[in-house]
Amino acid sequence: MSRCLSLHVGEFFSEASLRPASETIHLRFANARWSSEKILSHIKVKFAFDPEVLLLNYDLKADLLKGRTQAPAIITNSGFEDWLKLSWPEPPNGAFFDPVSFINPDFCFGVTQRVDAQGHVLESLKSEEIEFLIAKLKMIGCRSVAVGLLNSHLNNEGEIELRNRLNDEGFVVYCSSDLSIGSEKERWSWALLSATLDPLFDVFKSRLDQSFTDLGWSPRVFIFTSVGFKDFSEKEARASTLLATEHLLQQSIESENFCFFGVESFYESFQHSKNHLMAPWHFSPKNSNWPKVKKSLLQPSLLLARGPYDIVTWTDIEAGFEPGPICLGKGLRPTWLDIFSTVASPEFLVDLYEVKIGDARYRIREQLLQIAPSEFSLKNIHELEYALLKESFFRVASDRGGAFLANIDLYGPLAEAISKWLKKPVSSRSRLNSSKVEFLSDLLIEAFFR
Amino acid sequence: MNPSSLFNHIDLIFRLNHSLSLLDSQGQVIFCKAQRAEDFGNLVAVGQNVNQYLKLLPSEVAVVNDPYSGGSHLSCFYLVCRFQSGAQKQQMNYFTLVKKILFKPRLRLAAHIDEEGVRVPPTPIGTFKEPNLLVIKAIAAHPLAPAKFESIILNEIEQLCKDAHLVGQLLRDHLRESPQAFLKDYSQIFRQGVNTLFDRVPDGIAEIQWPLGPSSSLQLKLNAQPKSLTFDFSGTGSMDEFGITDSACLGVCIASFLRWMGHPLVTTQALYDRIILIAPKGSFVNQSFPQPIFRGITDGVAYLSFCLASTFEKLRQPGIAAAFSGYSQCSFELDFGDQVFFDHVLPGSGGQSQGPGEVGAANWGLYQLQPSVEEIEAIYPMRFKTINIRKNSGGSGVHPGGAGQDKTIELLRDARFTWSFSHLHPKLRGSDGGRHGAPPEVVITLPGTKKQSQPLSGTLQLPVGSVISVHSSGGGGWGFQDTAGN
Repeated sequence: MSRCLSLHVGEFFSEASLRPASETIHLRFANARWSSEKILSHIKVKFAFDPEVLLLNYDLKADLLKGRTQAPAIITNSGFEDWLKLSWPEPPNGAFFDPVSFINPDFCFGVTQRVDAQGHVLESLKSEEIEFLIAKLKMIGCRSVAVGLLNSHLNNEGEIELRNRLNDEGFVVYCSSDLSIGSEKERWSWALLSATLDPLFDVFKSRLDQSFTDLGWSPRVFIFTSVGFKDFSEKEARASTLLATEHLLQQSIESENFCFFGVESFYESFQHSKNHLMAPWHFSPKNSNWPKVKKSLLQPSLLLARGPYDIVTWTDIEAGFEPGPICLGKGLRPTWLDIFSTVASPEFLVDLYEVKIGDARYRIREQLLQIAPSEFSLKNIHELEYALLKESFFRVASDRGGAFLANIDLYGPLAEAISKWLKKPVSSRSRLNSSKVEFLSDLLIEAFFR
Repeated sequence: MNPSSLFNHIDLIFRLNHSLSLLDSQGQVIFCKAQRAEDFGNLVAVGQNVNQYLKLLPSEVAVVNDPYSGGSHLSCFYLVCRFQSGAQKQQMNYFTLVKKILFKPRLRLAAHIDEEGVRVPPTPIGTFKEPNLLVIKAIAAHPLAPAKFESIILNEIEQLCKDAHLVGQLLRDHLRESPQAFLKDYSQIFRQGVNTLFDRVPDGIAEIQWPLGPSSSLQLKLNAQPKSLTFDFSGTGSMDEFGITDSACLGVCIASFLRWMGHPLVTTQALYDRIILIAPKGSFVNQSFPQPIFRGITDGVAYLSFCLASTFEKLRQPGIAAAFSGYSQCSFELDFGDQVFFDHVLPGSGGQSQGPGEVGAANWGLYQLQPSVEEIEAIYPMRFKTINIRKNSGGSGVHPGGAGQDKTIELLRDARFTWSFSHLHPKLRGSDGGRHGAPPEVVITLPGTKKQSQPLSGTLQLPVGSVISVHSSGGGGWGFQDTAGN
């Protein structure tokens, strides 16, 4: 077995697993204090581990990408430059990524080209128009380009011609026809996302390369995507990393009806319905591999607030996280994890957040009292905490009628604490060797050697 | 059990449903959620009318779409069911669930409501387990009935049964000890919530008068008191072109109020108890049978909600004048004989003192989703030439009006084109020195001819190769800006 290091990089925390090692080693780090490079260095120093294979999984939130990366240029048919922006409804909170937020209207360009609904070319690209477009792209200084032409799933000559010409000029081009299914809305969004992610992954890659040089490592690096492990330098796979964790859980957990309670995200298995068919990141290039796992409506950093008519309710908004997750009394408004920690204090979370649970509990209750109805005080606030937690679990599997307690298997690092509260056993049914699924980085290694 | 958790649970169950209401045995609103403004009036009026006239038993279902029985337009049907929350057959344990089902709209330039579609008054259609197929088939057989009526209604009845079962369980858990006391506590909580909402409304009176045509106007006196909000439309005239029903008007008033307060579009009886509507019979806001309704529910609702929004702003800042928002949904239809394509093009909203107008703002548009161009072209014999933002259609100003949209379509087969735009004013007026927004427009180019601008509504048989351009209006701009942009 190759010496393998896996690294799962989430929003709040990173997880690392080493195999084979003299003992089972899994580590969890808070991102606010631990960059990926620092984690690798720590592993080298502490465990004298020199991996032959590095496995990566990035759990990136799309709203985080905003501002981290330059908006790409978009080339569409002339007359449809605004179509992607107009065609997407405002997504519900927490439901989907919003491709519109990645569009810079000044970077949308049209070309005179048209393919009809049977795949026949009605108008071909004009070379002088392409030259003019290249000049404009150079002028705005945009390296990544998304190309989406109508009916390119039937005939992609135009997109390929544009890609070849733009590649010659040094642009990185993502064509919508790389995605073989979906309508133009999904395909164009997929190309847009790929072009958005591209520069960010370039940054990740150059930082890692620098770390390898500093540490004297030369591992083969693979990234987990919706179509399995891909070479990290393979650009086409980058948009498919957006749902990689969902695919990882689907592959790793045998149960078809489960919840995974992770330290920073909760997931659940689900049956597809038309309400879930809209997100392009459900797709991957030349593949119709849709995960049957999604992020749950219940999330650990979900904020509690006064909702309609002053009723205390769970919002669809997750708390901020820079620097570090705003949980365990650190924020101004209570989160789900806050309320849960007041009734069940999972030890490892307390270590990870480096808080004294007594102090945190006091702060959380003070915050809760600020939004609670007037009949509650410190003496009876636990009644409200109990009701809110009970209500929160109704969010899990709510699109299956809230049939949560009856028949769902529980996994993940928080599963044990939650199962105690729910008086429900943690499931050990898993494809894994270990009986518990505690670390996503472990799942990465299992998936690699499976 | 905490009464407020019942509300949160129901909200979660119906997270993916956008228009429904739940009424108790007395017809009081336990929960009402709206997608479009008029829903707040229609969903409740339909439920109450069905309860009053049909006296449904538990598990029985009724269907209705008649606008003059509380419904919306004729492509919008309501399924109403009665269910029981507990084993005991007490009146207190009976509840009514109303769900809206929107079929693909048809655009018919009609002079009488019955020419717009099949009109169904409250009609029992069996039980959850045994829907009355004879009645459902009879409705489906009407020449103006929506396509696939039977199969869609049967699916919806099945879903309604599941929903009623879930809500029934939820209510059973909550009402277990004392239903009467629980429902009393429930309404008390919302009364307090509405009190808090009203605390944020400045007391006073705001009056507006907006034109409805050359000789009539919409007159509204909004009287905000600590305990009530009165919408008095006395003096409002009628329009030849369109109008809305009083139940739709009530819905628009409530939705506009909630939107102005930045509140989610969800409510209970406590808010209905505070709203007083005075809508003269036969006027624009309470039109009578047999007036057609479709344009009223599309363009009329958008116009009324714009008028209400500007009235609310006047309450907050008495000196304020609002720039016009586009209100015509620019509905159009292409009838190819064996297939019918319906679409609309949304207008831009007006600039305001707080910020610019929105592009193609869905001001209570019928649909939120824009279907795929490729999918439309694969189904219908037509080709889109453009779908874009209508450049320079928003009025300029310190805060410019939102732009409208352009859709240009080429016909690949002969088709009957029907369109219906509204434009009550020569210009979509800007305010405080802002410029006017561009009015809506439809232009047709027949093969081998020049472009021809068309009247605001009409129907034409067009040959293959014709090109239709539909331009929705832009909103008016707010605030004076000179040519240098100062």
